[in-house]
Amino acid sequence: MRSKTLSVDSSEKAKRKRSKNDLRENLRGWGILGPIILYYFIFGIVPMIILFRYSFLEDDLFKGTVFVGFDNFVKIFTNSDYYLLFFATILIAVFTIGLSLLLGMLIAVAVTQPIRGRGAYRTVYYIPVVISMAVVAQIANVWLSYNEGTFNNILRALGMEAVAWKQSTFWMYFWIIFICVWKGLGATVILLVAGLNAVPPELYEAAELDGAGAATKFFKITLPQLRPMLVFVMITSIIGAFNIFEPVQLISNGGPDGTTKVILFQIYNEAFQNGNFGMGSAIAVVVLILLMILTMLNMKFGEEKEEK
Amino acid sequence: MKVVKKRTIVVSHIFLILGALLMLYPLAFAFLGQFVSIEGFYEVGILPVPQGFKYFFSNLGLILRRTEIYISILLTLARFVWYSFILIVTSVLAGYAFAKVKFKFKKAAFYIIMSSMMIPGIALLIPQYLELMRFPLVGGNDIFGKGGVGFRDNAALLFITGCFSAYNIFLVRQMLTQMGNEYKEAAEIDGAGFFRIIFSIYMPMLAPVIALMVVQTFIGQWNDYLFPMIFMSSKPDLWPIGVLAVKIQSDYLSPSGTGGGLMNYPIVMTMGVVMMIPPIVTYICCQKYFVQGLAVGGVKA
Repeated sequence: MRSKTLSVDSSEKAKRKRSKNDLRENLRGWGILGPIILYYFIFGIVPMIILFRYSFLEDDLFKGTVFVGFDNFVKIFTNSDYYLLFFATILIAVFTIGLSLLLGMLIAVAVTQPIRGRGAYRTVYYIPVVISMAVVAQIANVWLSYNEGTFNNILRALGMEAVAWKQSTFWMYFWIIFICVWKGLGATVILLVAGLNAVPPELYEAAELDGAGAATKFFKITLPQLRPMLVFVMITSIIGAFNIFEPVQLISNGGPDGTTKVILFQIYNEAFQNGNFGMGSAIAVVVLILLMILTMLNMKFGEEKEEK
Repeated sequence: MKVVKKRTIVVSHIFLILGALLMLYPLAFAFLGQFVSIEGFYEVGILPVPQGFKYFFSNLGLILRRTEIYISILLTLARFVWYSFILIVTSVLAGYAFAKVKFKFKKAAFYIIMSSMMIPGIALLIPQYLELMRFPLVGGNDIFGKGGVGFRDNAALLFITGCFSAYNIFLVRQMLTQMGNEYKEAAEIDGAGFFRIIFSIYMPMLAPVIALMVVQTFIGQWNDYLFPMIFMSSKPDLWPIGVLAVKIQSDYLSPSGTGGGLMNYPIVMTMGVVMMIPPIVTYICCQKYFVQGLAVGGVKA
């Protein structure tokens, strides 16, 4: 009898202790995450609500801010001033990503050979990643000035005709893409090297036993094994391409004739130069939706990568 | 050991050296360009030929005589200290909560926090600006955010946004999940408190991730350009160095900046080099953390 009450007593006590413990754990968990989620609500969720609201508004000099329904979005998809932004951005993205992957692959393969100074090479290739893009763009301005620029000095010294770099759409694209590749290559190389190192060496050994050549090994083993990493690099690079801003603002200023206007540059222009926050927000909403789709694709591929 | 043909090695070296030269070219150009006179710069070829240290010193003098640059560097360092501190605190605490604390709706909280990774900076630019300028009860605003100027031209603008990083929280959570609960249980028996367990037992084991956060915060803050340029557009004396340096370069890239005379290209180079040295030195010194961080996360920095 006595022992029974005691055991009930102690289990009651344990239960009470456990519930006290639960309460404490809940308090701790939410005490930490509550403020962070509140902060996220104020500086992440509320801005998204403001963004969507503003995308239906127009800032008019005389009438103030007025509701215009889907007008901004209709403009984006029908007015060449706006849909060409996406064209310019995608054009720069395609070339930047293509060149980065091609060169990055060559460098990554070379740097994973058993050669001396691998670490030093990797360090050098990564240096541009940590430098301010804006400062580099300003140095490029010194090269590309028509009258006093270094490149035209060299051309004139060689007896060739000077090039009006900034008046040429081709050359502006060329230099913007060049700077983007130069700046981002190191990050691509590091990721590809990580991908290459993860390929099981047994696969190569087996292939060698079967008498496979270097090309066969690359196309039949390396590329398929690297595929998840390549997809990952590609999607993060596309997201990165939507953030191209400094070389356009500082070197081409969107010119010549607005042909190098990219999305972020135009968002900045519409909102902070022309004061039309409505149009800027509408462009940002379209980008947001595009990037969300890409990020979700990335997560999906990321899961496949984990499973492998 | 895999047998590799000598030819493969030679070809690799040649290719890598050529590539490395191209990567270093802008840096070498900027570095050598500092030692050239203003007139001499118009004869510069592929690489500037140094003419003397006096040109460098006169340009450095011009830069150092601008008092705003000291305020700017102090401001940038203040941002670095603040963001390092707040990112470490939020990441370690939230990462610990997700890994080691049992609480209700943990999964929901986790998805809410992780959803912030879906919002790109490009989408936050306009609405954060609008929100901060109309923030309630700040800068003469009423409770509805009307009537005043909000945070306009307020130094606080440089410290408000981006105080937690879902990616860092995720990294810390991953590391802590891999570490056992033994430390926690043993410390609890010894009577150590909740925060003591986090900060004196688990935090030292998180050192590599924390070091990576600090290094990345420094490089990020030093180079930060777009957001402060916009948020502080009307307040040049509160520009972080990433914005001010570009403005100083712009001054000398236009004829008006040099009084209609020749453009001072060497000073553009000097300002560029001054901007490049801190992040490059930081990166080279802390390289091992970058590699470790990559090993933990496997994701682009």
